[in-house]
This record gives sequence, C-alpha cells and structure tokens, in this order.
Amino acid sequence: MQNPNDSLFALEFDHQASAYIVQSAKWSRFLAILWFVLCGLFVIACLITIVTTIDRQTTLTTYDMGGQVALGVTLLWFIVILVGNIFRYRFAIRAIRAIRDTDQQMLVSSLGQLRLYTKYCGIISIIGIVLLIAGTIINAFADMSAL
Amino acid sequence: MVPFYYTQLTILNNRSKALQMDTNTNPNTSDNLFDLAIDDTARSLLKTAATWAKIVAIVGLAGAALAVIEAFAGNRAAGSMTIASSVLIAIVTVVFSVILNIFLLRFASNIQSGLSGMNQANFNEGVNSLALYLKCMGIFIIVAISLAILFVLIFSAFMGMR
Repeated sequence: MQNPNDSLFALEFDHQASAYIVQSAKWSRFLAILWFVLCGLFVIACLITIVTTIDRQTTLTTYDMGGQVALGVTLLWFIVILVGNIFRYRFAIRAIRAIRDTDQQMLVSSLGQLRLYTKYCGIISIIGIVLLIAGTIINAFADMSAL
Repeated sequence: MVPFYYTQLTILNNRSKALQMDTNTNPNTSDNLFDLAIDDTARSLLKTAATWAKIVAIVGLAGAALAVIEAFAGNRAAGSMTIASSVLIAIVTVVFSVILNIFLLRFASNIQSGLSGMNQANFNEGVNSLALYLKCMGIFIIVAISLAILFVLIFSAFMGMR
C-alpha cells in the first residue's frame, strides 16, 4: 500500500535532474548512433575481407585459419557492443520523449531500458574479466614453462 | 548624500527584477506539480540499474588494475620498443577507464543513497554523474576516432613517399 505522505516527500525529476537526464540521453543517443555506424562499416569491411579470402583460396589453395578466427572474434565483439547500444538508444529516445512530453509511463520505460543496459554491461564485463584473468594465468604458465 | 531608505528600496527593486527575470527565463522553477515523479516502479528500476552500474564500475577498475600488471609484467621477450609502446597504450587506456568508472561509481552510489534516504540532492548528483560519464565517453571516443584517422592519414602519406 502506498504511503499517503509519499507524494509530499517523494523524489522527482525536478528541473535540474531533468536537464541532466536529457544531457545523458543526448550523449547516449550520439554514442549509440556512432556505434551503429562503426558496426555498419565493420560489416562492410568483413564482407570485403571474406570475398578477398575466398578469391585467394581458390587461386592459392591456402587457408588462413588465424585470420578467420580473429575476424570471427572481432565480429562477435561488435555484435555484443551492438546489442548493448540498442538498449542505450532506446533509453535515450524514450528519456528525451518522457521529459519533453512529461510522460510518466515513457520515463518508466526509459529507466527499464537503462536497467537492461547496465545489466547487460555488467554480465558482459564479468565474462570479460573472467576471460582476462584466465588469459593472464595461461600466459603466466606459458612463460614459466618456456623458462 | 543618498538617504538610507532609498538604498534599501533600490536593493529591493533589483531583487524583485532578478526574481522576475528568473521566473521568465526558467518557467519550471516552481512547477513541482508537473514534474515527473519517481514512483515505486521507477525506484525499483533505478535501484537495479545502480546496482549493476556499481558492478560494472568495480569490474572495470579491477580490469584496469589487471591491465597495468599485465603491461608491466607481461612479455619480457619482446623488444624494448614494443614493451614501451604496450605500456604507454595500457597507461592511456587505464587512465580513461579509471576516469569513466569513477563517474559510473559515483552515479551508482549517489542514486542508491538518494533513493534509500529520499535525498533529492544526492539523486540529482547521481543523474549528473551519469551525464558526465556519458559525456566523457563520447569525448574519449571522438578523440580516439580522430587519432585513428590522423594515424591512417600519416601512415598512408608515409607509404606514398616511399
């Protein structure tokens, strides 16, 4: 049950907080669009590389396995970033609309997207740090065995 | 000599003018009735977002520390030039990462304390930290892309001269 006094002391997006959230949303939108463009450029570069590699394979009959793996990993990384930026873009668009139209539902929806974005980033960063630690340990063992 | 009451009257007049100007230029100063509220759903969403943001910031800071360790204690078999460049890149990346993650941590802490203590000032500070975090990220990415383009241009000019 909601406390009747809540409305008196409740937090709100006052003029200052609204200005900050609009600023955040504008930068979020800029960053998301920038990543969309970079992802598009990267996909084009990938397609060119794949076509060139297929051409070379038919003429030289060699298979550049390392290059293919590196391309695959980079493509995966770009997809991971792209998904995060979709959440960020949605947060930005909805937050700007919520503040402009003073729309409470839209504000809740934008905060939902912000939550999804931070959760997604959290999971990805945990996976990233685990892989980084594993890589460091493997490297250390490889160095020790080389000595 | 100007009488005392005249000076007081001038000050009062100036203050009322300033107040009127503020109301004209900033119509939202007193429209609390029409502000967006942080209801229960929004509060719960913000709380979760802040918790995850704190995790991201802590993991980011730990990652930065690991990157520094790896850069200094990393590949000793490589040449001194390679080690120096990898250490330099690691330091620059770590500085950027630390600045960004401090803003993110401030966002998470301020939002959490603002929501738990119903403190509007803390809440506003938290939202400001989010804005600063995104602004810094944007500026860093613009600088990085500009440097990459400059590097490509210099490299292609160098290759053309040979």
